Amino acid sequence: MKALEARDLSFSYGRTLVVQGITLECRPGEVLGILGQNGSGKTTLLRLLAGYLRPDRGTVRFRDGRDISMMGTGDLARIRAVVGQSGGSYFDFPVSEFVMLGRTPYLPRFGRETSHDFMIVEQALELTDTSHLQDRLVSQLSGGELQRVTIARALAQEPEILMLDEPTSHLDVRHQLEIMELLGDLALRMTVITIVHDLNLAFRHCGRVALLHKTRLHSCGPPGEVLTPDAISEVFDVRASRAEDPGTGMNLLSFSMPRPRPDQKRKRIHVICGGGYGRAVLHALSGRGYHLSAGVLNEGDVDLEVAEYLGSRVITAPPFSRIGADERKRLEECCREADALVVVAVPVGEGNLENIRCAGKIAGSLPAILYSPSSSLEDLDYTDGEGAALYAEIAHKGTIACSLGELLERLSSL
Amino acid sequence: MHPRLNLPLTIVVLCLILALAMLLGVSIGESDIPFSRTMAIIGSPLFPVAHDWTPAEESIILFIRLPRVLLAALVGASLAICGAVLQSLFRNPMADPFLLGISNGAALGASLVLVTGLAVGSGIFGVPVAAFAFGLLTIIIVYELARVGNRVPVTSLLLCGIAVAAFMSAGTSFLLFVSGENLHQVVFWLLGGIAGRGWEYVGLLLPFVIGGSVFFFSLTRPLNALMFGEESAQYLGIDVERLKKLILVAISLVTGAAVSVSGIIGFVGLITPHMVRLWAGPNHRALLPLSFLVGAILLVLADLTSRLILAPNELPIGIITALCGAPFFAYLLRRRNREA
Amino acid sequence: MKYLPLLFGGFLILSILLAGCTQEITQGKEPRTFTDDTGVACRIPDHVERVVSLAPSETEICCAVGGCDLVVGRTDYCTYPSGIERVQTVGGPRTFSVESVIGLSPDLVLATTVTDTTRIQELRSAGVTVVVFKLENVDDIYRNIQSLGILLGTRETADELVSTLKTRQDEIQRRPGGSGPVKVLYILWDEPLRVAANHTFQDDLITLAGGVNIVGDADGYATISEETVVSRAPDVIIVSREHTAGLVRITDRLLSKQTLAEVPAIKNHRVCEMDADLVNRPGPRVIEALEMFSLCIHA
Repeated sequence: MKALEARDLSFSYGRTLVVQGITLECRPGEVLGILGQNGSGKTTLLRLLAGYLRPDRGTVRFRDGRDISMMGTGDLARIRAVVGQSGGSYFDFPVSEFVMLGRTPYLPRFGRETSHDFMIVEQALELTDTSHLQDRLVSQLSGGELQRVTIARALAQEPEILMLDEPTSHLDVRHQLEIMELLGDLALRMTVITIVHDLNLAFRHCGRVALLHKTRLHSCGPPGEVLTPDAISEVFDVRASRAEDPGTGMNLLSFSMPRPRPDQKRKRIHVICGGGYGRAVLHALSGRGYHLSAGVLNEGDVDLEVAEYLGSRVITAPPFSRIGADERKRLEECCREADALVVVAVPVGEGNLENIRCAGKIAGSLPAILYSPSSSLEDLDYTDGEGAALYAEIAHKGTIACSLGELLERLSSL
Repeated sequence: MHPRLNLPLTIVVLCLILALAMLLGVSIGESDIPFSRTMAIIGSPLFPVAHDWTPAEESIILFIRLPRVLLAALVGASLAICGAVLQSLFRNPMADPFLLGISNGAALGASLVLVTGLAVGSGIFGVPVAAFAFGLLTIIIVYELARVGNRVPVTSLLLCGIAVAAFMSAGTSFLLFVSGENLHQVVFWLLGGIAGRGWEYVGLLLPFVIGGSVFFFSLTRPLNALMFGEESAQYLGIDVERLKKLILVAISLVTGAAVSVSGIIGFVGLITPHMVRLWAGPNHRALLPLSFLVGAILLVLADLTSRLILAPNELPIGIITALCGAPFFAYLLRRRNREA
Repeated sequence: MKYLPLLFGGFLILSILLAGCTQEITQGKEPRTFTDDTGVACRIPDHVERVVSLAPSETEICCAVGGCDLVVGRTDYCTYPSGIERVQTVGGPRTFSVESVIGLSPDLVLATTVTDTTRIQELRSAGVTVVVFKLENVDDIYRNIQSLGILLGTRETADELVSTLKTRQDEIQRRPGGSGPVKVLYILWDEPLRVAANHTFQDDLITLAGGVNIVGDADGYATISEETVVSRAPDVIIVSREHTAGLVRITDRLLSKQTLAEVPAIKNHRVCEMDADLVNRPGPRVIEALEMFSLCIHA
């Protein structure tokens, strides 16, 4: 059964096409999330589904098959309620009366509200957990409270379908979760269609999602199927990865800026790091579009994961073992191909001493920068002085940078 | 409505104040007529009372003061309620009934009749009828200019109103410039006045005030919904475009009728809803009836002032409303800013 | 247009302040100097040959003292005496074109306290001699006639005219009046009721004709309420008939007003209608106006 069915919807503002050929259906009792980039037509689609805008082409039908463009505003208001984007001026209006506005489609012109209307309002306040606010003024509410009260007003319309346009915008994490859980609860009674900005919220709280891409429907289905890293990267132009959150077992999406285009001529930089000390440097350099290589890094090292995530070339050694001659050879090769060498000051022990030795040797023939953001170099030395001496040598042959800004500046002046 | 405000009680109190103000307006004037005699004269058409007054006194009370006080109340009430509705429709506190150029159009119509002396053709109603017709014509022009397809965006309505109003007042100024000896009549009309308006004017205005007010009172809920935006109101089941059209028609008729009998009386339509809103909140259930009553009271008192302050000179009532209204308005704004 | 009442008030105050001033003329030395009613000393050429009049009353006075041939410019409202229409016009009394006036290269420009002051200033800055007269009562008119006689070199004609007028005035005033004072109201316009109160030329005429102006306590041209008319019960109402608004019969409207039905003047049909040009124009025909006032009041 379908609660709402949109067929081949198209709409344009003047000559600008905003929504093109979208076919979509919505099932009773589900939370359907609408996702997409800014300007992808989400709000317009919602307005079309709500009957506020009339499509240039296509139809929207309700459960009983009625075409909404044939329905009056009053009839529509008894079937669907809409919570628009918050904002605008709110007046000194008591919450209870504000929620009572939701009864407008049921009330006659001069008639007064009946006990039934008051009961519905009371229920709406209870459902949204806002009963305690009913004597306050709308202008005195916080963002989260206002959003809930607005939802209560929509519920007072006794809608079959509740539509919301970014109900969680401008709210903090806690209030975002509260609103999304509320929508989940409400879906037991009605169909919820909501525009969601936060992909993780959508992933977690929507039964199905519709992903819009440049005015068209990209895909529609359960979040697990729709929100793949590839789809996200195509629609939002970011790099995405999906992992399971170890604490909650829920899917977690993370994003970063897309990799620069390979055809561009970029400098190659080799980074010697380890133990997580190089994470910030790797991200910063990758963000600036440098080609990266990193190593030698032991398997299991945090920096290795970061480097791999960023798509850099890596030289690895088995976990918890010294850097051998083979790795040393590969490191030298890598450095030869690089335009610069960045050595991140990490604690030096027997295991990674070979990295620094190699760097000390190469520093003369290749621009080298020692990145040492905080601690003094002696404190990092666990090799009775050799490590500190090598760091000093690198700094002497090349330069030293104490902050990321300084590092990036040095590199760009190369 | 503020939770603390007892609406029925407030309405009763305001009705009493209005009755008192009207009584004051009827019993005070140029000639000294004892209060008891005034009451007896008013009561005479309804009750058998001993005739112990001169015919002149009777005509002063029944044909001069009474219609004039009633007219002041009606004009004040209609301007105030129209102001309240327009401020909500435009969601702009600066809106008043004259915003859309009704008054400027009406002024042009009135000036045309006064300057060319065409009044005789249409009898005593020459000026009001011309003012009314031109007021409506102005609104139609503004509406047609502002219309985008089937919709009338309020900003475009506002801007077109300003443009057309400017054009109309230029026409009036031109007429004033060439009018020579009829100048003072036009000026007096422009400054607004209800002096010398008899029962026929009350009869002219009354149907518009009653019809308009009943219509506006029926809009309590839609207007409340409209405060939170047009889109939001649409979702609550209100056909906003249709509502706008209906309101514009009603406002034009009521304001046009008020302007046509009284000239341009400024500030009542702007200030009264503001005053009421500060005190009773923005809910139209309170705002509309209270504005209606307060507007009536204010204009009855303003009219009384206008004929007492420089007696026997008669001051245009528009001067009084602006003279008292403007500083009071400034005070209200200051107070609100301090509270905010 | 908002300033109009202020403007009226301003004129009024100015007129009162200047009421004490006298016109004087210094002769013998070249050129002559004439101090006008606003206290401005004007240089007058020995022989005035080209006169522009900026007020209908001045045009009439100018012609009455034998200077009609000298008038080379007039306003749209200067329509008397007949034949004056042939003279070129420069616009309305408040709206005339300064350039047109200067273009006529007048030796002397005649204005009144009602003439637009900015324009007078402009003319004076351009070196044109402008003499401003105040005309609030019959004596002002006599003085104006005599002054113009001196300025235009027709002193004898002017003095003769004044003495004739004064004789007729005496005759009219000597006529036996009725019993008791007659209460009079002069109405310029009925909606709103605009009447001639104290310090107006019509008020002077009412007094000279033996009547009592019922709004003598107000100043200048006042707007009053119908209640004032009813409660002060005038015996006679005088109405001016405008030529420009010829379609409107104020008298008819007054007579049909239910509100005024109890006013003695209305009840007894003692409403006199008079030619506005005659009674609103403080010129040499003032005695004709006085005659009409007298006839109306003592009918």
